[in-house]
Formats: sequence, structure tokens, C-alpha cells
Amino acid sequence: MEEGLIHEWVVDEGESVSVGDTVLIFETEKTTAEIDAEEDGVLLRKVVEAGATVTIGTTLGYIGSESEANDIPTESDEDTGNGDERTSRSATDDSEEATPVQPEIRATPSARQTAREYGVDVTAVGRAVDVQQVRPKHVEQFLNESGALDGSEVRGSPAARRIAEDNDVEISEIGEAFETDRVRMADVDEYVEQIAVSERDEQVADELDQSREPTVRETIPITGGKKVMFDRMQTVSSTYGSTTTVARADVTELMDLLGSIKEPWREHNGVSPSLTAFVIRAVADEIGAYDVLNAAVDDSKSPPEVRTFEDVNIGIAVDTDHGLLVPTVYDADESTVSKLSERVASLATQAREQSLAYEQQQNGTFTVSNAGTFGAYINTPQINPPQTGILGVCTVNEEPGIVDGEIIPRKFVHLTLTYDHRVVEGGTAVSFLQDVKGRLEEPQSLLS
Amino acid sequence: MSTEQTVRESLNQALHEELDRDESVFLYGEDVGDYGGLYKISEGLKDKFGEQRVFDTPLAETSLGGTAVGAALAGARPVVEIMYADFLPIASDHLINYAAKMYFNYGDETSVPLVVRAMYGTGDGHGLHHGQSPEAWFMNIPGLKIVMPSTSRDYKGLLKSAIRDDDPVIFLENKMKYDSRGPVPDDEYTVPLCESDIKRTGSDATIVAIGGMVNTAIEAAENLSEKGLECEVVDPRTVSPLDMDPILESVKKTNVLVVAQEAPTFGGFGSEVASQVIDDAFFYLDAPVKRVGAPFTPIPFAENLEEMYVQTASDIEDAVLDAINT
Repeated sequence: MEEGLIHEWVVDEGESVSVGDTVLIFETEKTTAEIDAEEDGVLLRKVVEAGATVTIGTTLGYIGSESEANDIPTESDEDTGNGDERTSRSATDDSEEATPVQPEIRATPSARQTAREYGVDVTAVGRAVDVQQVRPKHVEQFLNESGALDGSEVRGSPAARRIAEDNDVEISEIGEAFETDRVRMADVDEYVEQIAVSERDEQVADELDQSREPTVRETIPITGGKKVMFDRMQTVSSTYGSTTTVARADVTELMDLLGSIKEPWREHNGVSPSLTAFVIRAVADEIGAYDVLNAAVDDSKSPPEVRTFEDVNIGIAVDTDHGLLVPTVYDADESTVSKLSERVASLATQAREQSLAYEQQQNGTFTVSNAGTFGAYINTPQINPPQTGILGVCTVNEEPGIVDGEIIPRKFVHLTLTYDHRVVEGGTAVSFLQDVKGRLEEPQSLLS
Repeated sequence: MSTEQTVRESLNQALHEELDRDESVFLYGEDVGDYGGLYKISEGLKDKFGEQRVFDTPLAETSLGGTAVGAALAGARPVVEIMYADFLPIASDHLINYAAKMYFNYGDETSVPLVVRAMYGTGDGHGLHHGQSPEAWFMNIPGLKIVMPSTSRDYKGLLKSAIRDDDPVIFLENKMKYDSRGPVPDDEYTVPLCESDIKRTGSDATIVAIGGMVNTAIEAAENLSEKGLECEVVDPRTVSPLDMDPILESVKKTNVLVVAQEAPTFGGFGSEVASQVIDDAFFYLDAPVKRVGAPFTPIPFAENLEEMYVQTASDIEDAVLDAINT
């Protein structure tokens, strides 16, 4: 219900009412209802006559004691003083007839003439300007204050109008654009130039439109293992002093060795020897002399700390469908290559099957990442925080090598050591990498 | 080749040459003979051409006007000097109702080839009656030519043309400018009547100035040039009949018009120019037309008031800036 029709006043003005007496009857779309007196008194005034349709909140009339008759707000008070009272048009008209309390507004003939010219009512002028005798200056004041003469009409100089017409633009739009009510030739020229420029821009934009915004195929939330990678790489890239040193190892002998022991190992151990296992063995053997690489950084402390470890737990980066996982080869320095091969294969399988236990992904002290299986010529993996280094193993390539002054085919692999230069000296990192390289180039030493 | 000389020298030469060239030319007026003219414009002419052709008259402008019209109708080419243009009205019945009307009255090629020389110009403390600019008094009379030169070259060339012209010409000389100098061709020449002259070119505003105000306008234009505004100064030289085309062309180029005259602005020459430009080049105007001229009051005698009355270069500069910045 938003409005109602005043059907009938049961009580007339001047009649007494008591609490509960029906004062008037009104209708809505759905029902007819009564409004009863809430207090004893006299119906002082009907504000809305029967037959009028009014909105909710409209004052319909006043009930009070006789002495309160003069306290009833006048029409203008209701309009301006009481914002929540909305009065319908019919209500306004009726009440205005009923209460001619406004002083009569008079106007001089010239004021009437001026008012007529601008189509305004002298009474309205008198009330707005608050004078009883309206003079021409009051009409002008009214017009100025009401905005009728605020210069909103834009005028162009004759030359400006001619040029505007030649260029098919409106003086008014130029005035609006430049916030002026006087348009000159130079304004038109400038406006026309601006239009030309913006049209050119739009044209360029149209041409580019198709290639500008790439179409989204899919929006993928980053969660689980991918979120772990996301967070760790963010940490590393924003806080670590990641630096990379690269070595190229001649693994001809190692690859020959792998080839020669492959069958026997399968038969006896049920596992193939892997390059990764040999690398882990080399790392585990050598890292003891470079304890700052078998360590963890804690930069939340003040001063920051690096903790070196007794244990050598090598993480191996495994690429899976659900993100990069890094299972841990515990105590890698205590395992044979044979055992390492088995453990690496087993952990990789578990990683892909998502069956790694929590413990199997914790407590790494250094990481080896073999991207060589993907064919990476040189690959520099990121450190797995809070560790201080990671060794990247790249693809094994047959390339020309020099042995005893002769160029002959050899097998090479790039070893990339990325280390946190905040805590690891460059020399330390390079020496470590050279030692690992040396071990791989003499593979027999890794079999023991 | 040309020589720098004063307006006075130019006028004297013009009279000399025309008296010499044509025996029907003769010069008369108050003090033009023995004294050689109050401002020495006719110095030496009586001695050279004799008192039959150069002679003094009583202070009787009515007679000067009447005899000039009569002599011209009879075939002579009188050059009569009304010492101060302020007294032209005394002779003006003859000029307005006879000299200007004969050609139209008879319809038989009757002409009145007279020249009335008269001086005007304000700023020398001569008060109410000795410096008014009278061009507007006669502009409204068809049949009268009114010439108001501004440079030595134009004074000479235009006076010679006026003397040779078959119509009555009022030739107005600015007495404040008699000593101003400028180049004048050594060889004989004339400057045609009824041709406006561009005294300075520019593209930002057109200043149409007449008589003594031309130099003031050029001075204003030079000052404005230092502020980056280039004004075109057009000198009509002949007030009536007025050569409007160069003025219209200039306004079409600059889109801004300022008119300048010594006389009061109300009902003046500048108002006529403004009206014609508004009529014929309305859609080329980008600013209100500004008029520079004297206030609507007689020339004050008090020195400080006269100084206020006379329009200066800075008044013209203000008018140009007002127009452009409106």
C-alpha cells in the first residue's frame, strides 16, 4: 500500500471527538478502513478533502483543543519545515484555498511587465525574494537566483558561428566542452581539432579492438601443491639473493657405466641405475665440506640466521600433474647409488600417485632438480626455501669434446647451482659445483 | 628617390606645383598672402605667383565659401583656406547646399572644382574653437569629398589630386602634425583620392584610423607587437566617399576591428566604418567592434582636461585588448 483514497470524513470541522471515535474512512486497493481518534478533542481542520487520493504519510487533518487552533502549521510550514510529510497535489490545492494566511503580494506595472517577459509569476517572485511590493529589480533578482539568467545560454561570436557551421559543430556543445558561455573563433578551431584527434584515436582503437583483450579460456584457482609452489617461489624471488653458477660435466664415462650396469642391476636389485641417483650421491658426498649449502636460512630472526645441518636430506624435484613436488631422500649420504636409485624411483612414483606421506616431503637440506629428461639444455631451478642451494641437472647431449688434443664425440651435461648469495659466498658455490662435477666425471668413485 | 620632409613643406610644395601647373588655380583666405599663412603653409607663394593668384581676405567665411563656389562654377580652380576648421560651418551653406549639389542639380556635367583647406587638431591648448575634428559634420553630405591625410607623402599627393579633382573637396590638415616628417618622392606624383591605404600589416586586429590618429594607431600597433599582437593599420585617407574594400578585407583576415578618430565617438567616422563592417563582414567578426575617440564634450581648455580628452596610443592598445579579451 502506497496511497489511499479519502472516502469520507465522518466528523466535520469544529465537531468534538473522543478516543476511539471514527474520524474518517479511507480506501486502498484491497480494503476500506477507518481512522479513529487517538485523543479527545475537536476536529480543528481537514487538510485533505474527501475524494482525494494521497500517499502514505500525508497529514490528513488536525485534532486538538480549541486553543490549539492557531498553532496548526500553515501550508508553507508543512512544505518546508517537515520533510517527511509528502502532500498530494489535491491536498495542496484544497488547503491553500482554506488557509489564505500569506500576505498579498503586490507588484508595480513595470515589474509585472518584466515578469511577463520572462514568464514568471510576480507572487512567486514576492515570496522568493521576501517582499510584498515587487519591483523590476526583484524580478531580476529572482531570475538570477533561480538560474534562469545564469548565462547558461551559450553565445558564439559571429565568426565563431560561421566557422562552427562550416565544421558542422554546435556552439552550445563547444561552450559545454570548454565551460564557457562565450564561444570565440579560437574555441571553435580548438574544438574541431580536438574532435579530429579523438576521432583518429577512436579509429585506431576500433582497429585494435579485436586483438587488445585476450579471451579468457579458463580461470584456474591456484591451490594445493600449486599454491605451495606459488608461495615459495614468491618468497624466493622477492627475498633471496639467488645467483647461479654453471658447470659442464663430461659424463661420457658415467653414461657408459649406467649402460653397462643397467641389466645386472635390474636382475639383482629390480631397479635401473639413474643419473639422478649418481648426482645425489656426488652431492651428498661433497656437501659435507660446504655446510652453508646444506643449511636453512631464517631471515625472520634479528640478526638473521643460517642453520647448517648434520643430516644430509636431499630433496628431489618431481614434476607431477598436481604441481611440483619435492620428496625427501633422508640421509642421502648414507645410501649407496643402488639404494638411491631405488628410493628416487619409489618417491617419484609416490609423488605422481599423490601417496607421499607428509614426512616424506619435509626436512630437506638441499635439493636436486633434473630437468634433463625434458630436454633442457641449461635450466636454472629456484631454491626451495628455507634451503640455501639447489642443483639443476640438465639434458645429456652428445657434443664434440677434446681428449688428448683430438676432437671426438663426448657426452656432456650442464650442472647449474643456484645459491642464496645472501649466505653463500660465490667461491664456496663454485668450488662445490666443481667438486660435484669432478665426482661425476669419475663415476667409479660413486659406486662404493 | 625620396626626401625626408615635414608636412608643412609637402603642402607648400603641392601648392607651388599646382599654381605653377595650372593658371586656373588660385589661393586665397585669411593671412595666406603677405603673412604666408598662419602656419606658413603658403609661404613664398604670393611673391612667386602675384596677388592676382594668392591673396588675403577679410575675416568673412561666408564670402570665402560663396566666392569659391562662384569661381569654381565659372571655370576656375579656387583653393580657399578656412584657417580653423571650427569656422567651416560659417561657410557651410555654400559648401553643403551649393558646392555639393550643383552636379546633381543641373545634370549637365556641371562641376564645382574647389578645394577648402582647413586645419584641425587638438592638444595645443587652443580651447573650444580652434581644434575640433569636423569630418563628421560633412560626412552626411553626398557630393562633398573629405580628405584627411596622415603622412608628408599623402599630404602632398592628396592635395594635388584634390586641386585637380572636379568635385568640391574639403581638405583637412592636422595642425599638430605640420612638423611631423616623412619621406616624400622627389619626382612629381599624386596620391589618388578615395583609396584606403594599409599603413601597417598584421593579422591579429584591424585598426582603422583617420587623420591625426593614424600615427597614434601605428604607435599603438608597435607597442602591441611587443606583446605578441600584430595589428593592421588601415588609413582610409579619404573619409568620403569611403573606400571600404581594404577595410573589409582586413577585418576578414583579423576578425577584430578597432576604429580610431580624434572627434567624439558618437555619430563619428568610426561609427560609420563599424556599421559597414557589421553589415558586410558580420560573420567574420570575432569580437565586439571598439571605437576610440574623444568623449562627448567640447574640447576642454584646461591643460589637464585637454590631456584626458586627447586619445593616445595606450587608449588604442586598451581598445584592441578589450576587443580580443571580451
